[in-house]
Amino acid sequence: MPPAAPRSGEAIFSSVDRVNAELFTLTYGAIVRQLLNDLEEVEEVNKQLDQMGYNIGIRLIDEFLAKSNVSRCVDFKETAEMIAKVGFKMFLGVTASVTKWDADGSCCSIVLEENPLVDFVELPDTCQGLYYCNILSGVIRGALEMVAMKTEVTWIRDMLRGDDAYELQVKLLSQLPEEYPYKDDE
Amino acid sequence: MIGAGKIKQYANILDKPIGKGKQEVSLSALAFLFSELVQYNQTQVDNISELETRLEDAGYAVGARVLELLCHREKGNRRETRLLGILSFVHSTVWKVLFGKVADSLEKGTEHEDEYMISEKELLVNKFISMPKDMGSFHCGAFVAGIVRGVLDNAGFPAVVTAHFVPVEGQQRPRTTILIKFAEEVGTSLNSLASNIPLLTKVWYAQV
Repeated sequence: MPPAAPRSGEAIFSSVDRVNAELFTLTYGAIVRQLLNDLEEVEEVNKQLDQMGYNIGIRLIDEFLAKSNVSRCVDFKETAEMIAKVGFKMFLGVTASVTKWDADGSCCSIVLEENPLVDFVELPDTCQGLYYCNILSGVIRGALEMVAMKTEVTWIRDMLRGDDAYELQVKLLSQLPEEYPYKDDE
Repeated sequence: MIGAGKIKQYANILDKPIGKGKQEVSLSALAFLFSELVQYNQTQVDNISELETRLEDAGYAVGARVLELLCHREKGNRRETRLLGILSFVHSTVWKVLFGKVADSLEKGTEHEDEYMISEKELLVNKFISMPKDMGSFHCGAFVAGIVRGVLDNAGFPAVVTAHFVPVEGQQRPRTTILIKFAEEVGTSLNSLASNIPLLTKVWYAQV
């Protein structure tokens, strides 16, 4: 039986169960508020958000692969396109674009034009160092690590800090070799 | 510059339009987020009732904001001032907007005058959660109970809201009931007035 063709982000998004984005936004706001209350240091909150994103990402990748039917990506460029066009669409319902490729194709920027996490949000003066959407960087990092790519994800532009869009820089650090859980000669 | 066009920058966030509320995210995104919320709180507490309290407090903040948002958007800045009104607001409007459907049922308690129950076959947030035996009576619906408490409290009807599992015959997973017990000052009549009425009157005159 020939393998099923990969599905577009739009098609998957319309076939999954969906919820009101405002519940999602408000729940995320409650999480950030709790973290700020508990941890008090903005840097600590950033790290915790990244860690939470990582935990989500390592499980999210399974759902992504199951629902989207993508075959193995040939190179990192295709991976980034998959994240932006299929991944963001099927989970958050927004489209992202990939730009600013560097010379050897290991570093790119994913630009988000809309971001459901930040509706109704304004950063107060006491939290200026906070990367409010840091959970997204953890999700990408976790998901890619599960498919054997070690990456570093950082925020370049953040609208809550006054920029005009949300831009994440995804840098491929290394490809991890596939480890088999058993030895061939046993 | 790529990506700069779509979102308009507003000098003041209060000038930004609220939006119609039609945007959606996938259920799994919400489920993942909720599971992280629960897991994070598990690391911060020592026992189950503290965990429930923390989830409820998180929900309270959501409820307060949901009330403001929905009063503005759905009801044209009109607030419910009567008990029956606020209960049906929670049961229909709030549930419809947050979970996509009205709640399964709204009942008045038979044992106590000031108790009401909203029942749901399966809470949306609990869909992918399974309870280990050693968690006893813990209910992740404490988050939803917090949302309801936030809505009621900020509307002027202080109450204690809790979530319970009610086993149903013939169904594998128990039904969820959100129990609302209104505070003394609310009174028991369905026509009881909200306790922040003087404030509401002032606001109305200010708009005129």
